[in-house]
Amino acid sequence: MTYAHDSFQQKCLPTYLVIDVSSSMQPYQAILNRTLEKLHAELVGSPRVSEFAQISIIAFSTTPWVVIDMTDLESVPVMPEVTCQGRTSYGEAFVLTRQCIDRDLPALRAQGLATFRPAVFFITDGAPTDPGWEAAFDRLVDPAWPRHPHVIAYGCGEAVEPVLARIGTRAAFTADGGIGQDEALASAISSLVNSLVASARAEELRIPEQVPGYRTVKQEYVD
Amino acid sequence: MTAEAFSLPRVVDVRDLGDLDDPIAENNGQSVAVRPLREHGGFLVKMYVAPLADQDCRRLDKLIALPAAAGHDDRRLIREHTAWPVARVDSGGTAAVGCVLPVAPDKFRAELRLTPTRTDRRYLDVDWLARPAEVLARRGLTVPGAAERLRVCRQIIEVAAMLARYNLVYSDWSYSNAFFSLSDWSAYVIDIDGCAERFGPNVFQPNWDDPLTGASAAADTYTDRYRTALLVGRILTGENHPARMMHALDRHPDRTLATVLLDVLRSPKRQLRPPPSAVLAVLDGLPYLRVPFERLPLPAEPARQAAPASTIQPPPPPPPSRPRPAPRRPAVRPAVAVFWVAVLAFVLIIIAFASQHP
Repeated sequence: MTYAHDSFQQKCLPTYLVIDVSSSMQPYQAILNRTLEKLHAELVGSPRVSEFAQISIIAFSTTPWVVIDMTDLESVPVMPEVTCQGRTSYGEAFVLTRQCIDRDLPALRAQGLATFRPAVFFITDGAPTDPGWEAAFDRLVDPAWPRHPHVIAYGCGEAVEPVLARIGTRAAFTADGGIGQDEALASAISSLVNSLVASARAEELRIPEQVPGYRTVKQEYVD
Repeated sequence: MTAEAFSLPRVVDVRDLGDLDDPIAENNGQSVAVRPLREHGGFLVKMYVAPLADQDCRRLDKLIALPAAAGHDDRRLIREHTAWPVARVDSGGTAAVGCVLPVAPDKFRAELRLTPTRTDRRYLDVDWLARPAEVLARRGLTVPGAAERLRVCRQIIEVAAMLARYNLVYSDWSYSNAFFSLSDWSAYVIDIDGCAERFGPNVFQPNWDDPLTGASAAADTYTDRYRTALLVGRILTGENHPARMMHALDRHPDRTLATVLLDVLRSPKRQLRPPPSAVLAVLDGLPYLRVPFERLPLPAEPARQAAPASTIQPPPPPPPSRPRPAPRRPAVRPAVAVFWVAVLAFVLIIIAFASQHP
C-alpha cells in the first residue's frame, strides 16, 4: 500500500523576491546589493534550504524585470547587482510576477518537483506611483487562479501601511522607525532567509511572527 | 568524548552544569537551545521545548545507560561516530528538561566558501554529498571519488545496523543529522537522544517520507531501513532527487550494492526491506543473500533543470542589473586583433592599388 502519492517528487517552495529598486532606494543601493549577496551566501551554505526553496528575484521601478530566473541559487555563481532608478510601479511588477509563476511552475513540475503554493516576498520603500495597480494585484492573488501565491510584504521608508496590509495576504510588516532603512532592508532579507529555513524544516511555508525593526501591520487595515 | 569522560552523574541538575556558552542552535526541532558547557569541554546541553513525559524520560535513561553494557566494538562506534546522550538534565523538581551530548569532533567541520571572498567554518552535513561535484568544488570542498563516498556510506550504515541490533528507532534520518569528515571520510550521527525502542515518532522532513509508512503511523525499524537506504543512495550517487537517485543506483557499477539498496527502496512491503546489516555486509564485500521478490517499478526519471536565464521579457529600460566585476578574458584577444589589423591593411592596399589602376 502506498500512502504518500508524491513520495518520489522532490518538494519545493517556489519563492519570488520582488524588490523595489526605484530612485528612492538609490541611497541604499550598495546595502541592497550586499544584502542580496548575503542571501545568496546563506542559501548556498545550506543545500537543504537552497534545493527546497527555488528562488526567482524580480526587481521593479518604472518597469519590472527578472534579475534571477527561478532556480536553486546554488546554480547562480554570483549574484548580479541591481541599480536603483525610476518610479515605483507596482502594477507591472505584479503582472510580471504572475507571468513568471505561470511559466515557472510547469517547468518545476517537469523536473519532477512537487511545488507548494508560491511565496512572494515583496519589499518596498515607497507608495505605488501607478494608478490602477490594484487590478494587477487582484489578478495575481485571485483565488480562482490555482497558482495564486501567498504574499508577504515588507515596507520601509515611505511605504504606506494600508497598501502593505492589502498586499500582504499572509503577513505584512512595516519598519518601526527604530532602525535605519539600510538595517531595515537587511532585516527584511534576513526574515526571508529565516522563513525559508523554517519552511524547509517544516515542509510548509513558515513566516516569522516577528521581524527585528518591523512591526506587524494589523489586520484591521485590510479592506 | 565519551560518557566516561563526562565527570558528572547520569542525572544532573541544570545548575550543576556550570556556565553555558552562547547557543549554537536555537528552536531546532525538539530543542529550544543547544549550548556548549564551559566547565565540561567537549560536551553540550540540549534543552528541550518541554520536559519529557515519564515514558520518554525512562527511554532517555535507558539510552544513556546502554553504552556501559555494550560490547567493545559498539562502544567504539558510539564513542567515535555518534552524539550519544551521556546525562539527563533535570531542573529543580522537573525531570528531563534536557540532556548532555558530546560535541561532534572538529574533523567534521571545514571551511565552506560561501562567496568568492567569504568563507565560514561549519559542520559538514552529509547533504553536501548529494550534490553534484561542481557544487562541492564551488564551495571549496574536496570532491569525493567513489571510494570516499563508499566510506561515508559504510559508516552511516554501521551506525544504523548497530541501532537496529538494539531495536532502536532513529526515525529522523536525513541530511542534517549526520556529518562527514573531509580528512578521513568518516561520518558522525547526531541527536541519538531522540531514539526510541521499537516504535518512535514518525519525524517528517521534506523529501524523506517513507511511501509505505502512513503519516499518522509510528516509525519503526522498517521506516529506518527505508530512510537510511535513501540517505546512502543519495550519498553514493550524488543525486538528491529520489527518482533520479534510484535510476542512478540502477546504473551503478556495483550491482550487488545497487540491488540491496533498490530492494530496500522499492520493496512492495515494508517487511521485505533488507536490514542495514545486509547492506553493511555487501559494503564489506560479503555476498547478498537475497530473498527473491518483485520490486516495485522505478518511478519515472524526471528531466534536469536548465541553467537559469538572467532576464526575461519585458526588458528593463536602461541596464538595471550588471554582473559583478569578475576576471575575464579580454574582449578581443591580441592574436585576433593582429589578424584584423592585417586584414584591414590588406584591404587598404587593394583599394589603393585599384584606385591607381582603374
